[in-house]
Amino acid sequence: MAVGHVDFLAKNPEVDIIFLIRPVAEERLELNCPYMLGYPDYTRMLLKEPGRKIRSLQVEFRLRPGTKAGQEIEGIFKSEIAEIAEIFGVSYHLVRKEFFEALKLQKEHERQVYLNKLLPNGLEQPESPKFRVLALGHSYNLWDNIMSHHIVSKIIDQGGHVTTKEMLDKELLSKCAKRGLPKELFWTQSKHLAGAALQAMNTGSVDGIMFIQSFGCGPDATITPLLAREAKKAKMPFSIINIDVQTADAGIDTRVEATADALIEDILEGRKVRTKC
Amino acid sequence: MLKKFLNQAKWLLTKKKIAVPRMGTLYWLLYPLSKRLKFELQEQPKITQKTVKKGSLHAEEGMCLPFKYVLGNFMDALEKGANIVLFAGGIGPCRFGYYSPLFEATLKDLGYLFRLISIEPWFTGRGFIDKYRFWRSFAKLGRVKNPIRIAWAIWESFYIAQCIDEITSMLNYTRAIEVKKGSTNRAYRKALDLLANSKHYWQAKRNFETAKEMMAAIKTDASKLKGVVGIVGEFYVVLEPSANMRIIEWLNDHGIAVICSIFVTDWVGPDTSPKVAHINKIKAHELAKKEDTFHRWCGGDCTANVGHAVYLMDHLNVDAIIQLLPFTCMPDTMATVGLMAVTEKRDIPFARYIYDEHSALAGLETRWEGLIDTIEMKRLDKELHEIAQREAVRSKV
Repeated sequence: MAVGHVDFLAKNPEVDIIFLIRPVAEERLELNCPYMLGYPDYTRMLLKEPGRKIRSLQVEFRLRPGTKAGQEIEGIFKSEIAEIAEIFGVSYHLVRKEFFEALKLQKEHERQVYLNKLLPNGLEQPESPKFRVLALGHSYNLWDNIMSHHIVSKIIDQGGHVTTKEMLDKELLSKCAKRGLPKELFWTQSKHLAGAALQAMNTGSVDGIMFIQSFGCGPDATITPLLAREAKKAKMPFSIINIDVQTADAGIDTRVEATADALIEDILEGRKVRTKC
Repeated sequence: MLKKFLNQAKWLLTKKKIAVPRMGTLYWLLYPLSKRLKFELQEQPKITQKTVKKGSLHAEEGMCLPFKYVLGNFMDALEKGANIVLFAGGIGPCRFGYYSPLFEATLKDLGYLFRLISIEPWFTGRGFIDKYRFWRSFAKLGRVKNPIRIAWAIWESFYIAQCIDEITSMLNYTRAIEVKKGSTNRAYRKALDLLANSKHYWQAKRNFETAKEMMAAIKTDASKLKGVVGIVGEFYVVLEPSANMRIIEWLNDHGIAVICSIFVTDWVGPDTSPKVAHINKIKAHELAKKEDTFHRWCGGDCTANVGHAVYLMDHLNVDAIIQLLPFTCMPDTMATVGLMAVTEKRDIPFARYIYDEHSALAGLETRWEGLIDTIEMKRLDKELHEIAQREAVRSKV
């Protein structure tokens, strides 16, 4: 999907430079998955671009040696800002100023999501939810309508209250994952996913968990059997929905409906006491 | 609760037997170690179709092939009387690092009585704790606890395994041109026994010389050679003959010599140590960078594969490059594009075989035959071109 998008952009004559961001790591002793690490080079080679249009930007979120605790973000992105300034031929301070403005907006958005006010693509939670679901999935899958086949809106149509991992506290999630899993995970996003699932199992804040997994995703395939096992112990309904290139909308429809029906039946029969949010 | 306690007591009272996964010559790395650290190593059960079925039944659908093979292999070993399972850990972006907890969870669900010892690398960035954990995993194995003795034992058995890998690389070449069929395999078997039973480093050094002579004494016929093929790819599928459907043996039987880019000690040892496969990971990465393929490392053997392929083509003049990988392997899926770009530049055939639990020998054999035909046609084309050039020169005269 990303390759197709880059191809579309590269064929556009108005586009001069395409940035491909290569997120290496988000925390200490952690890395992202190989697909993410190699994807700028992969796309460049697959499209046989001579390297003029496609530029890759390496981003490391973790603290580098020599940065102080107070000026974390500034220290982290110093080299990236310098790289951008060099490409466009503008001064370092201008880029830095713009970057901090953008960062402010991003933080505001994240806060809105955290306060349960925003859902992907401007959706709204139902007024009187029939059941509560924790929709888990990588943010690039879940927050994109085409990738996730409108899965969030489908759950809301069934009358469900949706929680995503962005609405939970990140530090709490990594703590939960550290406590609940036998070995520390080295993929940050998967760690947050696992933490969200484990936290929901411990507190019982939702009626069920839906794991939206893209086909061939290695980290997800590794953690799902462990999470399914934990869910069995905690008696929490846990369903895995696989997304592929060939997946059709109708297939997702039936699966979401089936999960919703099962959860509603569960609540009606009183197998699980509905908790207040 | 009582049942759990009784099970634990039963486990403690039984004699300890250690099982290692079947992966090429990995057993011969641990066999000398077991003699030195004084623990009992179980003889490895063979991997059959039943093993694969068992493994893929209990593993997650999206996991890669090595996981399924090793899971089935462990189940067989535990049924045959082993009660400790030895496996390696990791920190990399490849999922291999998270295999051991998954093994533990799945095997415990199936009701086996065992313990899993996972050997984590000693450079994960946690300082002294890493070294301590590394030592402890070895101290748990046998009666020897002294860290210096353990280090010496590891070094010695590593040297022996390296010699064995060196012999294996000779085997892959000479088996293609042997006069009497089966003579190389016999000599290899003898050399293996000789090396594995050497008692100390100096004896191993002497035995290595005799083993080399034994391999060199095999009668060969150089005119039998149809071509040389370089194999790169994911380590498990390259190293384990039953996982790659014995591709190396098959190619050798059809007169094609094989140069592998990875061996057991290359993979187990540190990145900077001397390698059986000529260049180490760091150098391979530099080569890949020079070719304008992968500028940055992206997990596992991805960039190393591209670098190895470049080295094989430039310095060892191979006729074709083969990539072997299990289905859904993350780093090698990325490496394929780089290999395609590199081989296209040099006009060398490139074949890629993806294995999973459903792959069968008949389907693969036709593709291997296709590759052999391509190599032969390429050679014929070259000869014809040379003849045409010679005649053009003669006609001018």
